[in-house]
Amino acid sequence: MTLVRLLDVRAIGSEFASLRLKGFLMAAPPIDDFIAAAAKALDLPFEPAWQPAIKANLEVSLKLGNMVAEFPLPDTAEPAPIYKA
Amino acid sequence: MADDLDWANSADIAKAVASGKTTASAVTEAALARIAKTNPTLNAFTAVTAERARVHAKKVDASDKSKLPLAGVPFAVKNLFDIAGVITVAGSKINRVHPAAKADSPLIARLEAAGAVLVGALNMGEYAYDFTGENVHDGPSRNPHDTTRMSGGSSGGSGTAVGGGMVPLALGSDTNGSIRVPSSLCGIFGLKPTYGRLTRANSFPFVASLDHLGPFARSVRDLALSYDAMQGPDVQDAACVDRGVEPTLASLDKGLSGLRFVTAGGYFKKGASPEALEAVSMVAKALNAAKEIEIPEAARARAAAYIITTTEGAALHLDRLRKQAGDFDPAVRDRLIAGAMVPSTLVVKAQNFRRWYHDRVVELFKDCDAILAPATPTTAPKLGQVMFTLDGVELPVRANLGIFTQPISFIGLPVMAVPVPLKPLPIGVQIICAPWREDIALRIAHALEQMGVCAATQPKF
Repeated sequence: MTLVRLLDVRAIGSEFASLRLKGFLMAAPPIDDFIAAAAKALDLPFEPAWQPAIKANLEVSLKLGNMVAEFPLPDTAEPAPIYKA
Repeated sequence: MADDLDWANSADIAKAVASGKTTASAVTEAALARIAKTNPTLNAFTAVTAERARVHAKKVDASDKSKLPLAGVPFAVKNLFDIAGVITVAGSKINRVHPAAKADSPLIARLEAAGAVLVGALNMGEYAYDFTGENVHDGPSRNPHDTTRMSGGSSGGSGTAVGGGMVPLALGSDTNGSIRVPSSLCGIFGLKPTYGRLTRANSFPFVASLDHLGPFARSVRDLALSYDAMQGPDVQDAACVDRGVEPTLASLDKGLSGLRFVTAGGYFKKGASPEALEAVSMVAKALNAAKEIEIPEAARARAAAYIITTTEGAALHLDRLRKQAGDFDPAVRDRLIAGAMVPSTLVVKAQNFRRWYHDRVVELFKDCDAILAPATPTTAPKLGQVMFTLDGVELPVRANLGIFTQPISFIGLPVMAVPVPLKPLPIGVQIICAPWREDIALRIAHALEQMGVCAATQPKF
């Protein structure tokens, strides 16, 4: 199921899908579920045997990404690349 | 003649060709013979452009060689540079069905306009997502100081070819350390210029925010010669700045007078092996760099570089991951698939942090002209080695050989990697300067070379 389809299901009031989406957004889901959902949403097929390495890499990325995200910056902080017309 | 040229520098070759002592054709034939002889052992070249080289060498021989600063100098390029008539494989299996490149990279064209002679394309880690120099499709480029060890990557073939005496000059790319890591492990000099200095047009990208191109050589003068020939704006590369050529060769011999040096402590000492620390200490002592500073938030900078790399790399290869995932090097594929799943909020945060970090680090150059740091945490690991221990923690080699280079290229600072010839294996030190001050980095490296502290030593293999 793609992420778009998941949102569609929530929109028509499916309690199950709504709960799944709330879980997805509000609590840290098992990373295996996240990988499965992201792979479907991005149309990224992969072999089950690749899962452990993908999981290990994603765990490192999320850990490092959160290390960056927790650094306090003001709302006015500009990203490094600035587009100039 | 071949024996005479085995370890000759570009400057000496150009001088010999200009004076008529030898010819570009003779130098080219000697280089081709060396490559044929040593490539089965070192595995640096993936393509040899012999006929093209012979044609161009004849052209050089028919020219006014006094006007060609690199007359007859053989060089080779990482196989992500476009070479007209050659497929730009970028270390991959997937790209091998692409049509051959129609035009040369402008950097190749600029070197050839200065008289240099392209002799081939060099091995690299797949799609440049690598610090080891290993390649599942082409086999590893091997370290010339110990062929059972890694060359470093991703420009592994460039490090091997120059360090192994196959060519005196090579080009590579550096997104997170891919010039500086092979320079360190292979014991040669490498220059990663300021982000935006050298055009990346007609080269296969990896991470647009962080990709740089630059030269490898066995002497600082050779780096300056090639770097000066390659400078200049190029509208084909959106990141390439509109700056004129700022020559560095003339200032090489200015010495160290008036320059202030510091050593990076904290993060840059924590994971370093005794060899890496010894090399920095030797360079610091030679430069009288007594003061130690802390580059603020370097660990977080490395983390942010990691995030931008994995996500931009994933975006670049998304379609190939969807259609041809099985054709990637598994180690690259699994990281790219994971990169595709990293939330975009973290990427934006990384780019916000990048600007903050840039501003803090550039401030440091008010009180110094160069910062010294290790180039790699260790000397060359064994080929196939998956894990190593840094600061008591077991970590993957592939992702961690660049822990000291990533926080620097993350903000595009110019860096020289200089080789300290420790025994049994060499290791590099980074000389980090303020943006656009490649001239200072080269000048310091040249002084260290003159003092005998840094040198590319000839290996036996």
